[in-house]
Amino acid sequence: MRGFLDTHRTGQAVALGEDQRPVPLRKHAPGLGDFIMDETVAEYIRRTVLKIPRDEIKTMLQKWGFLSEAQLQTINFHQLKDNISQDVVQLCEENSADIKQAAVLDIIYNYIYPNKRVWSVYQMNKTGEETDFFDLTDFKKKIKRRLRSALKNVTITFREYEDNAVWIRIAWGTPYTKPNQYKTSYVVYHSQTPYVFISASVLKSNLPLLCQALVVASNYHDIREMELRSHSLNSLKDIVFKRYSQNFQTYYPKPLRERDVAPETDLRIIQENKNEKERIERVNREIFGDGPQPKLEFAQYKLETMFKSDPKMDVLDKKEPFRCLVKFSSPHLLESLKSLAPAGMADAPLSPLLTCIPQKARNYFKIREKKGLFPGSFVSP
Amino acid sequence: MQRRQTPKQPLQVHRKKQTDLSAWRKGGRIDPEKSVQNHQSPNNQKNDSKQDSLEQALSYFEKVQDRVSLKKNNVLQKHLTTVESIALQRGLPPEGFDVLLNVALSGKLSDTVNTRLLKSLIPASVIPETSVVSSVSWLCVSKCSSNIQLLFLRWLITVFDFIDHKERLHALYGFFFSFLQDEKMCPYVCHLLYLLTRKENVKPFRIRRLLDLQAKMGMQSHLQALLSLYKLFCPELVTITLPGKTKTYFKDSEGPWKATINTVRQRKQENSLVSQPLFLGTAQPQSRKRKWNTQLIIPASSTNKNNLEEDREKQRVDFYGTNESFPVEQLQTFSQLLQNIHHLEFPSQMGSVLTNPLLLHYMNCIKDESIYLRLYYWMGQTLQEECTWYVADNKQYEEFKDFLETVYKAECFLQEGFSSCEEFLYKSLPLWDGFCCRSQILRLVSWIPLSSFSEMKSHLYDPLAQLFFTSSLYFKCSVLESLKELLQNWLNWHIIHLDSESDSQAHSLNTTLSGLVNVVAELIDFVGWISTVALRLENNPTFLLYFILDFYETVCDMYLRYNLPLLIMPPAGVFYPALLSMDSVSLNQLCYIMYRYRTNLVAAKENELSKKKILQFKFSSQTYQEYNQYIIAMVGCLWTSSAFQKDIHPQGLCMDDELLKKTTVQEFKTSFNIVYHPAMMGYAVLFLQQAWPDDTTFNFSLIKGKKWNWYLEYLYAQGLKGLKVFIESSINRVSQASHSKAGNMQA
Amino acid sequence: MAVLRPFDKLPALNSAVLLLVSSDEGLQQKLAEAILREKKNFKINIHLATSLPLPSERDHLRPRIDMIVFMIDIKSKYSLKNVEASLAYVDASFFLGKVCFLVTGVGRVNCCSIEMNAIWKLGEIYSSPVLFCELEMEGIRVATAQRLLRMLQICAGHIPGVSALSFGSLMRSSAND
Repeated sequence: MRGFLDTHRTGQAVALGEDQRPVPLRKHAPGLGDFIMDETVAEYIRRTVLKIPRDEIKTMLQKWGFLSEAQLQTINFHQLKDNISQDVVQLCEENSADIKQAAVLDIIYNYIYPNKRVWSVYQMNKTGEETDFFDLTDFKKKIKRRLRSALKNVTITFREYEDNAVWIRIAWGTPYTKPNQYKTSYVVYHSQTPYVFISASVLKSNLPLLCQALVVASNYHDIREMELRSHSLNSLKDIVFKRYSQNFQTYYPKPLRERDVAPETDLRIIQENKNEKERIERVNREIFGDGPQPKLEFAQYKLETMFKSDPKMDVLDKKEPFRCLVKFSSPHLLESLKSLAPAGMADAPLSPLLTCIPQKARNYFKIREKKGLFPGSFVSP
Repeated sequence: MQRRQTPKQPLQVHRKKQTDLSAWRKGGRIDPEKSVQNHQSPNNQKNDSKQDSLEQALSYFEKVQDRVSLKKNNVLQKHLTTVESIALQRGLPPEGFDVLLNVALSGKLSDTVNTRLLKSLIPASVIPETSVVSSVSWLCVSKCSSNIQLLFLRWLITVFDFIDHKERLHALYGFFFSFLQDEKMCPYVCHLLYLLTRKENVKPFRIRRLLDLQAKMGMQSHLQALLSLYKLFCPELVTITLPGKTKTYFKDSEGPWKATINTVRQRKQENSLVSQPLFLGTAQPQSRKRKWNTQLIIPASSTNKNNLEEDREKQRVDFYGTNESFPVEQLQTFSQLLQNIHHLEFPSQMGSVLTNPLLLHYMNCIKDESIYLRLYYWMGQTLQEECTWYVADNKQYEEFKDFLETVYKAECFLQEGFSSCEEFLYKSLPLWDGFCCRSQILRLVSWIPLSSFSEMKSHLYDPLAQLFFTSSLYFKCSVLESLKELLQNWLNWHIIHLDSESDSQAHSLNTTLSGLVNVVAELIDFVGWISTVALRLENNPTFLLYFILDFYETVCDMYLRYNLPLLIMPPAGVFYPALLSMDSVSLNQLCYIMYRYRTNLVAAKENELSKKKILQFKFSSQTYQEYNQYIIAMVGCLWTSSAFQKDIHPQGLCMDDELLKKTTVQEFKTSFNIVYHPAMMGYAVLFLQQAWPDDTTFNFSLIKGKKWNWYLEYLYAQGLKGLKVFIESSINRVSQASHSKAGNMQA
Repeated sequence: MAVLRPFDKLPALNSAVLLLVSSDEGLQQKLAEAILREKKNFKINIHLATSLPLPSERDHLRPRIDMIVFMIDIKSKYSLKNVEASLAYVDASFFLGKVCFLVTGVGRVNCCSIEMNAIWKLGEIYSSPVLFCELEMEGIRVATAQRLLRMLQICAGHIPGVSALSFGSLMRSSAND
């Protein structure tokens, strides 16, 4: 926690490797031969740089703060990305970078481009009402202890950001193999909330362990997946933190007035379906609010309902549920749902099954045969 | 920048016949001209590095070992991406193809890599024939999967026009032909053979093979295409009958390359504005602009002189001297054309003919149906594919417009319409909005060949009429203009074929005179109908009337000028608006037309009387009758002031005196003659001012007797020549003696 | 539901009323604006509707409609269905020259999802002209606006001696014999 931390403002990083060796200080004198950088680290840094868009490489390296401003000056950022990455690796070698620094760079990249991953929301529960003071150091220590005791070889990297979020990067290994830096898990935890956003690694088997570590470290009792997934981390946060704009009665009059003075309304053009349109707009606003919608890419409904057919034909009239999966997908699902009715492609209001997504904070549903009288009621798994 | 000027490069390479990569690399480095160009742009560095990485990639692929896995090998990944990105951006230099084709077809690497390599084979300028030949050899040992073989064939068809020479490729004709037995490859091989086939390739055994295949696989459009081409070359060998018109013979095989080739070409064109002058002086630019581009350049079938010399020697040895052909790209002057006319060969890319007047001359004189077939095939394909009228992309729209313009000019040059163009018009007119490429489309309409009325009606007249009625005045005039030209083109065609009646080349359709007469009559009736409606809709504007009467100026002279036994009078809906027009121009035009009708009708009558034999065609008495009705109305309107009394046309202006009195117009009787006619009154006023400068009462009745004659002379002097010929021919001045005014008139 | 009739109201002096029916409101609005931008010597009102029947609560406010244009997007089967369903609410006498089908999106014939024949047939059954255009392109939009305006002028009786019926029969006469 020193040396390179003072150069950036957005957050601070704590790098901790599997061994407890202290973070080496940045060396300004180039060409020191006492530390030879691991080839895998070099390749990892190179690939990470290659992922960054060219005109952002410089600022991201500045945020990283591992290379001095003077070193950054020597890089020609207008050449091919391939060559830039080679230059960066060379400088890192001079500074004797190890996997901890490389991991920090990866966190920085993922923080700026969270949309490259799929995030899933988890909610933690407490039994009692006791309110603990959240101690970050303790939290980190507990997580590390928990994971390392089970797997031995893990790269765990933390980085805190201003919005109370702790970003945790975990590269998984096993007691006998080195951590795989390319199949990492990411956890974003907001300390004042019971929500955790996890972008799981391809190595799914470690997920229970990770959840356990999180529950223990944050003094919770229990954790469950909320069935809410998206590429857009911020939208997930908007949904679970209830940050997206919802409808409030006070909102009505304003847009209507705006409408009247809008220049497009040539008096010679008469909207015949004005009332209907206004109704649709009103209904739509009641459901979706005025602001932009959180960004989700899909909603999935698993139907396990009985097939109802004419009693005369006893085809398929069995007790067996009729299984079917309905998946809605769009680059921006909620906005598309919102524009369905105004575009005249669906009747307003839409089915509550579609519109409840942000309220229920989930986009994976299972629909079972109704037990009560409420139509469209659904039961969580 | 420097690499963009690749057209320079292939030339050198060809001269040295370098296909070796290392030699090319060296050559590229020491080329003095290149170093001259080097200082041009500060971006050179960037391009240099790109060039370097391409060179690295190429040399990597040259040496690459068997079975390198793409997933595990970063180096392969890197080089592959380099090739792909450079290919997409500016295309590959000619020297790259040898290496990449070799590796892609040798089966060394996985199919994924091979596919990606083949897909990135975008030519920056040309593709060396040698590399294509060697890749065909790979095809013969079938080291690669059938998918790759297919992809290669599709690629070859797409880039066919980019291959620099085709002689050796032609020599492989038999190899390609043998691939026909592969069911999957067959359609593509057919397409390729279609592009390659020359007359000497058509052999009985090949025809038999094709017929066998057809018997086995059924009527396939690609086989038919090849057979029809064979039949064109050697009709005596292919005796089966093939269906006449097929719209598309071949599936679109252009797949992933076409769009990229176009963008690379466009990008290059943007840059070439600066770079072209650099090499224009040194040699003929070799860059192969696609198809009908603005700078359409003839693709060469055998390109450079060295080669030609060699070939000649070889040919002499091989007794092939008689087959020797004169390369079209050396054809520069008309005298060259005359000297070499017996051994010219058309370029493999028929489209280039369109902008080359010499080749158009040649095409016109050899009358080889296969040439037309090739041109039509190409043009039909192009029109169908590139028909992007409405695409918002302005550049493409302009290009398409230019292309239509080029086609039109070629049609004018050859004085005949292209059937592929006709098909295009028939297909697109019903969907036309009347705006896109308006003048081009309408001009092309004027070259539609004669065909049966039912076809013309549903494909041309109906859609045109709908557009005509709803569109602007300007559009209406344009349509009339192009229909006039259509009529003239038909009449010209008729008169030419009348002269050379023995010519067996005459088109079979509608060659009978009666057929022609019917089709022409229907066109004239159509124009008469839409003209009547248009005058009504637009409220008789002079501008429109001018175009309508212009059409009838051709119609009224058909008998004498075009020797067509047909005369059709304008409908009353046209005649009366012209007669009662407020404008002297229209009236004058009408007078001229009526004079020509008279001349034609008189000539026809005389002919009829003088020739004892019964003529096949005779003007019906109805035509004479109609003419007479009109002439009475005209004389009444211009001369005898008896328009309301004498007019006997059913749609004329004959009116009861009682009715006229109710209008309370004083002296309605004299309302129409050359003094009082609204179109003439202006002249009358001026005449009065000159004849009686002191009189300001405008007493028109002063114009009579001698003054009447003076007035006539005055009108003639004002340029009303139509009126003059009309009055002199159609008004019997003696008969006027009985008229109230004519008392002191000279006969 | 109320059927739209051409003659149940008196015409207003020196004015014409056009009804545009389209499920694509964006294009509809653009076309309406293009028509209004044209120079003309009479008053014009354009009513926009997504489908027929028109809401009956506005019946008393609505002037007599001189011409109906049904817009069909060549890329959308829904638009054709919408038009077909709406046609049921048009009185037969409207089809004496006061209805026209406007097919849009012709620039993308390749992405056509409607059978061209279905459109021709529609025009034939309802004996009304079918116009083709690509409204996305400014120039064609203006040209189309002018064409519609001409027809509207005739339908509103502003061109002496040419009635909607006679004009309609002209537009058809070619197709029918």
